[in-house]
Amino acid sequence: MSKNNDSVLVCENIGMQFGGLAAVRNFDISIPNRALYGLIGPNGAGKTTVFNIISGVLSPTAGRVKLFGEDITGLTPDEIAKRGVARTFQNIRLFRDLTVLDNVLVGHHLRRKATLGEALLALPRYRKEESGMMHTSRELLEAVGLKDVAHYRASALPYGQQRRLEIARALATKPKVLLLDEPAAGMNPAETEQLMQLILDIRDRFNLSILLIEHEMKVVMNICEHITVLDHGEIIAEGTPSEIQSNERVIKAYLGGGTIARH
Amino acid sequence: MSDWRLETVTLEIFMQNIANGITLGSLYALLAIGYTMVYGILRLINFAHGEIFMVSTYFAFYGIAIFALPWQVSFVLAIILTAVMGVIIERAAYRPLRNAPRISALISAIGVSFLMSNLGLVIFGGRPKTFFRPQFFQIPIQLGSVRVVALFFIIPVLTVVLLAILNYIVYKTKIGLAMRAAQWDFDVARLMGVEVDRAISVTFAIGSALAAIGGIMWGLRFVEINPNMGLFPGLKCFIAAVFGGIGNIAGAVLGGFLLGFGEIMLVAFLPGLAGYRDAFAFILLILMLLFRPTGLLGEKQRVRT
Amino acid sequence: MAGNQSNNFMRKAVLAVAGLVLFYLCLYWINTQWDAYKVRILNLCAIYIGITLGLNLCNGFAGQFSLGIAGFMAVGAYTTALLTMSPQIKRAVYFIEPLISPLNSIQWGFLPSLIVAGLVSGLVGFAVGAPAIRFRDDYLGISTLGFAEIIRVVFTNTTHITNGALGLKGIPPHTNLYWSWTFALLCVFVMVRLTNSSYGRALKAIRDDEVAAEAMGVNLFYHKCLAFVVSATMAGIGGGLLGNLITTIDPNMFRFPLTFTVLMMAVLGGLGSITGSVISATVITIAMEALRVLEEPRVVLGIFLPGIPGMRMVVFSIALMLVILFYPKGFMGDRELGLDSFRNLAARFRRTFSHKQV
Repeated sequence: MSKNNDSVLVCENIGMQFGGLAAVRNFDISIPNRALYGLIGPNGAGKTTVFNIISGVLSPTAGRVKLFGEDITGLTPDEIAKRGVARTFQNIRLFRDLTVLDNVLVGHHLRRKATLGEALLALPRYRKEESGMMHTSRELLEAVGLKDVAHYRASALPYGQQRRLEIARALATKPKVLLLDEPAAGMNPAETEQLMQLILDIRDRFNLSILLIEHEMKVVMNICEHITVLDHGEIIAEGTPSEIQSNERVIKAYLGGGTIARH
Repeated sequence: MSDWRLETVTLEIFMQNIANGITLGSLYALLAIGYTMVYGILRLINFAHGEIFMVSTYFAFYGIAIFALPWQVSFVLAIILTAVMGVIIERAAYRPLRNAPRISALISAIGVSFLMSNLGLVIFGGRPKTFFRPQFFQIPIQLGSVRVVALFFIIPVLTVVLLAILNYIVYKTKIGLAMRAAQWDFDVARLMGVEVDRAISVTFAIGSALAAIGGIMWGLRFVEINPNMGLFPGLKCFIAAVFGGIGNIAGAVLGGFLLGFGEIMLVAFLPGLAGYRDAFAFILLILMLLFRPTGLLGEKQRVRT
Repeated sequence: MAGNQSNNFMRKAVLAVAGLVLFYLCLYWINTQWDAYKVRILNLCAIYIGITLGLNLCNGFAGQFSLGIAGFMAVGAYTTALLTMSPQIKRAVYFIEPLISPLNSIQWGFLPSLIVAGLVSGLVGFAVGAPAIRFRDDYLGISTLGFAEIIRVVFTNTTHITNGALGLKGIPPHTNLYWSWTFALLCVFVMVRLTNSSYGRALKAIRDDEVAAEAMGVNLFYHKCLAFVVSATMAGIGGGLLGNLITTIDPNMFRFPLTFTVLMMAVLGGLGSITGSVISATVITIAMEALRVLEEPRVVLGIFLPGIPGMRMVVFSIALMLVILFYPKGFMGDRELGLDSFRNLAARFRRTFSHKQV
C-alpha cells in the first residue's frame, strides 16, 4: 500500500462499528491524481459505507480520511463537498421536483461568492455569477447528453438519464475526487458502453480522480486502473484488473466466479 | 411576577397530590398508548387522537342524557363507538395518503383534528357539559389521614389491567404479531402473509378504545367536558409518548405517568408557576428532542441513506 | 447582445414602475370611496398574503413543516403594540401591574416599530429553528407548535410586560391600505427574488432531499435557519400590522386555530407557489368574512335562522381535507402566474382571432 505524496485521497485504517457489528475494518486506500479506481465486493460488503465515511455522512469509529493531506474525518458532508469531494448515490437521490437544469445549478451553490443580499437585490456580482453558473451548467448537461431535457422535471427522466444527471450535478460542485456509487445499475449494454466512455471523458476533461463502486464487472475491468475488493467489511484483495480476475479469494467471495465477466 | 417560592405542604395535602398525580398519569398513559401504537405502525402523529378522546366523552354523556341508558351500558357503547370511529378515520383520511409525501398525511391529520373539534362545537354546543357521576365511583375510601373516592383507585387499577390485556394481545396473539410485523416493514410483512390493512385497523381500534376509556375516566374525574378538551391532552400525550420512546408501549405508559405526575407536582410545589403548567410538557419535549431524541426507552434508530 | 439585455431591463423597469403607480392610485381611490368594512377586509387580505407567504417559504419551499407561525405573529403584534401605544393608554390598560420601564414611557412611530417587530420575531425564528435543524417532519411540527405554545403561555404570564391574559387595548390604528399592501408587495418581491435565486434553489433542494443537498455542499444549518428567520420576520411584521388594525390583542388570539388558518391558506393555494398563496389568502380572507353569515343569527325571508358558531371552520376544515385528499398540490401546485403566462395567453388569444379571419 504505497502512500504517495501526490495522493489526492487517502483512507487510513478506516473502521466503522454499528453497535456490535463491524461494517468496515482496516480499510486503506490511496488514490492518486487522475486515477480511476474501483471498489467492488459482494452485496453488504461495506462499499457504500466507505463512501458514506469519505463523504461525511458517517463518522468512522476508527481511522482517518485525508484529502490533499488535510484531515477531513468527521467533517459534515457540505464541508467535505466544499473541499472537493462529490458523490452520486446508489439509490439515485435527485431533487425530484426541480428541473434537470436546476438540479445541476444546485451543485454550483457552494462555490457562490455573492451574498444573500446581493441575490435579493439582483446586484451585478450576483447576476454575473448566475449567468456564469447557467452557462457552465448547460455545458455539463451537454457533456452528459442531457442538453435537450434541461427543462424537464427530474422525476420525469428515464432511469439511465437520471443517473447521468446525478453525475452532472456532482460535477457542478467542481470536485477533485468523484465517488460514483453503482452508476451502471439498471442500464442496458448500450447505455453501459456510453457510461464507460462518459466516465473516461470526465476524468480526462475535468482532471479529477474517480472512485467507482460497481457490480457490473464489464465496467470495472475495462476502465479501472486499480481495484480494491471488499468482503464483509475487509479488503480481501487489491490490484490491477487482471490480478483481481485471477485472484482465488475474490472468486470465492463472489460464489464461484460466475459473475466476473471476461472482457 | 412568577413566584419561585417552594410551597410547604402537610402530609395530607402531599398524599392528595400523589393521588392526583397517579390519576392524571394513568389518564395520560392511556391516551399516550394510542399515539405510540399509531406512530409505530404508520409513522404518523395522529393529531385527531385528542378529538377521538373528546368524542368518547360525549358518546357516554349522550348515552345517559338522551337515551337514558344505564351508565354501564352507555360507557361500553361509547367505547365501541369510539373504536369504530377511529377505524373510520384511518380509512377515510389516512389510508388514501399512505403513499403520498409525509407532509400530506400530517396535514390530513391536522385537518381531521380541526374538523372534529369544530364539528363538536357545532353539534354539541360550546358550553361545557357536566359529566354524570354514578354513585359507584364516589364511594369514599379512607387511607390513613386521606380520604379519596373510589375513582382514585379505579383509574390506576383499570389502567394496569388494560395494560396487561394489551400486552397479551400484542405479544401473545396472531393479530398482535401482525401489528408488530407491520411496524417494521409493510412489504415484507405482506410477503409473509400478514394482512397489513387489518393490523392497522386493529391498531386504531385498540388505540381509540383506550382513549375512550381514558376519556370516560377523565369525564368522571374532572366532570366538565367541552369540544375543545381534546387539544391539550392530545398534544401532551403525544409528547409523553415521545418522551417515553415513540413506538414503544411501555415507553408511552412511562412517559404518560411521568408527565402527569410532573404536572401535578409542579403545580403543587411551585404554585407561582402554575400558569406554565401547559408549557411544561412542551419544554420537556424540546429538551428531550435536543438531548435524547429517542426518548427514555427509545426504539432503535434507522440509519439514513 | 448586451444592448438587447439592457433594453429588456429598461422595459421591465418601466413596466414595474408604471404598475406600481397604477396600483397605488387604485389604493388611493379605494381608500376614499369604499366603506370602512370593505377597506378593513382588504387590509386583512394584504396582511394574510404576507403571512401566508412566510409560511409557504418555510413549509412549502424549504420543506420545513413548521406549525409555529402564530407564535411569531404574537411576538410581532406585541412588539409593535408596546412600541406604538401612548404612555397614557398604557397606564390605563396596565391596571393590574404597571408596564416595566422604559416601555411604559416610550412611543415610537409606526415604521421603526414594525422594523423592530420584524427583527425581534426574526430572532425568535432563529431561536426556534436553530435547535430544530435535525428534527424530522412530524417532530418539527410538534416542537414548533410547542414553541408557539410556550410563547403564548409566557405572554399570558408576564403581566408586567404584556398585561397577561387581559391583553392590550387601545393600540393606535396606524394600519391602512398603504401600509398593508406595501407589506404584501414587499413580501411578494422578497419571495420572488429569493425563490428564484441560487439560495431559493438550495432551499428547494433541501425540501426534495436534504441528504443529497448536503452532499452537494448546501449547508443545512444556514439555509434552514434562513427559511425560519425570513418566515418569522414576515409573520412578525404581519402580526404587528394586524395588531394595529384591530387595535386589541390578547394571547388567546395566537393559538393553534390561527396557525391552522394560515396553513390552510398556504395548502389550498399550493405549497410552493407564490401566486397560489396570494390568491388563496385573498379568497379565504374574504370567504371568512362572507361565511360569518353562517355563524350569526339572521332573519332570512321572515324566518329566523339561529347562527351556528364554529360552522365556518367546519367548512374550511372540510375544504382542507378535500384538497389534501384529492388535489394535494393545491390550487396552483408549484406553478406561478408570471409575465410569461400572460404573454402566452395573449399569444393564444391573437392566434385564435387571426385564424378566424382566414
